[in-house]
Amino acid sequence: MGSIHLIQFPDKETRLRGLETFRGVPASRVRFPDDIFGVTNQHVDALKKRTFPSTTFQRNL
Amino acid sequence: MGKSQRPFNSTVLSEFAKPSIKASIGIGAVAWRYTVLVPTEETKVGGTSERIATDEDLDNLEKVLTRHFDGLTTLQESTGYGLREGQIELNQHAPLVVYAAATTPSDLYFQTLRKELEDALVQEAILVERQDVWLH
Repeated sequence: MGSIHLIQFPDKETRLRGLETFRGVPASRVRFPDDIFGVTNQHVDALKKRTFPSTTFQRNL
Repeated sequence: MGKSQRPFNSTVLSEFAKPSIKASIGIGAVAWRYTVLVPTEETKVGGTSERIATDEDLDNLEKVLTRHFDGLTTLQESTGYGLREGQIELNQHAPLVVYAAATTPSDLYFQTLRKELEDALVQEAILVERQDVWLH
């Protein structure tokens, strides 16, 4: 079983790019208040492939 | 001339967002699990894909559902087929899943949400499923 990461994007523009990236990921994700996302390794890998700088999302809040 | 799409307006849900619509979790109770199938892309045979709900629509929708129900699950996108005016079309959907209290106000909330999505995205029908579940 893979890890679950809690991440948060720094601003709306980055979050929208993140959502666009997540659309192509064949896995479920969750969202909590304060725009905190619970995502899988696949989501994190997809963000990296889209060259999200590591500073644009925080892992394991 | 046909209607054109507009951004999803989450404020229409405000009056239906009562505390009583939140599911009771952790006490052993019946809840309703709603799945809203939000169309994101539509492709007609021989045609190009057309974007329906934008990333901003999805963000606003997820945000308001998260605020009113304390969280949601977005399943991986699903593909469906529909027949419109004798032509087959292929649709991509983002399935959003929320647990709500098994009460009439929850149904009123999701009926309003469905209507708003149909109007904003200019869709004949937005599918909203409701299932009975027991939450331990």
